[in-house]
Amino acid sequence: MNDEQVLIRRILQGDLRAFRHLVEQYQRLVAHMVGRIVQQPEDVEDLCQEVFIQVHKHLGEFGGESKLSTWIATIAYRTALNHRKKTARRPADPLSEPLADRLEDAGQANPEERLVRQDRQRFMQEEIARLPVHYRTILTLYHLEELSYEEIGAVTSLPEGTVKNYLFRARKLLKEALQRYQQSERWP
Amino acid sequence: MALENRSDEEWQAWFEGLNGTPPFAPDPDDESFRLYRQLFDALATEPATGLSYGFSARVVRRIQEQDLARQERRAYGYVAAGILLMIGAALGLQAIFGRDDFRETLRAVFHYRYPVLFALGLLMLIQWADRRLVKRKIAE
Repeated sequence: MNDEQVLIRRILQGDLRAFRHLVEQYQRLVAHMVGRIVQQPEDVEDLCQEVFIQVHKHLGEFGGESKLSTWIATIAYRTALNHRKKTARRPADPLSEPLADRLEDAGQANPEERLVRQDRQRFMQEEIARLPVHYRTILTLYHLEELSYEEIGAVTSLPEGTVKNYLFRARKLLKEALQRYQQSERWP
Repeated sequence: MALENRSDEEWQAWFEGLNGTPPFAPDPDDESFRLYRQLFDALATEPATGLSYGFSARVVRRIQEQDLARQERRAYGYVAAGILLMIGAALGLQAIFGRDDFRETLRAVFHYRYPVLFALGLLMLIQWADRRLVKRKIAE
């Protein structure tokens, strides 16, 4: 029995400390997933809570066919998509800070280089936010969570070929946007 | 267009294959190479999660609250079922023994309805104050 199975067994026996450990282990994954799908930053934390409540409620149904992270990501994906559908008519808050503004500092030595990099990161995050929801989700799962094509397919219920295709198209769109951005910066 | 697509595919495959053996050596001055390098760098940069400190504790507290509410609902259900059973049993006994005590009791209660309602209201108010004020204060 591996650590993950022990943790699950403890949670199913009602050990809330074990569940807290699980939350700490996967909150990053859930926050990234929800943050990329939901456009209102003020809703992200509530939705993340909702995801973990669902995880706690349905953990007994987890059969171990996939990794626990894939199963949790699937719940996060569905919860965020449902929220998105419900709030589709609500306009995005123009005053809310985009996720890019909360990027972690990479800690580079040269301040000018750091500014340029931050600027580019901000631009990239804005461009990512403009992509279709499936593209954003797949980019997050592949680049941030390092899930395989197969695991991404399991989370999003998309065939592996479609996952590869969306990933390719998303990166190509972003590369073209970055190219246009840099050209406009060079020749204003 | 096809050439451009193939080229993009090659670049993306090249950056994906960085952990293994890259299929070709890129020209560092190539614009696509530079753009894809910046893009992969940006995609791998983790945005802050935006979750507040103590998020996990808050989730656990919410689960505890939900469990407590569920237990209370179950307890109220048992109480309601108990009361209904008692009434049923009283009616059953009355039917078996053919006495009219139950109707007499109801008539007496109806006669003293205002004091009875007042007592019930007072009891509910005490329960409500106990839940809203005392228990909440203890929990805080």
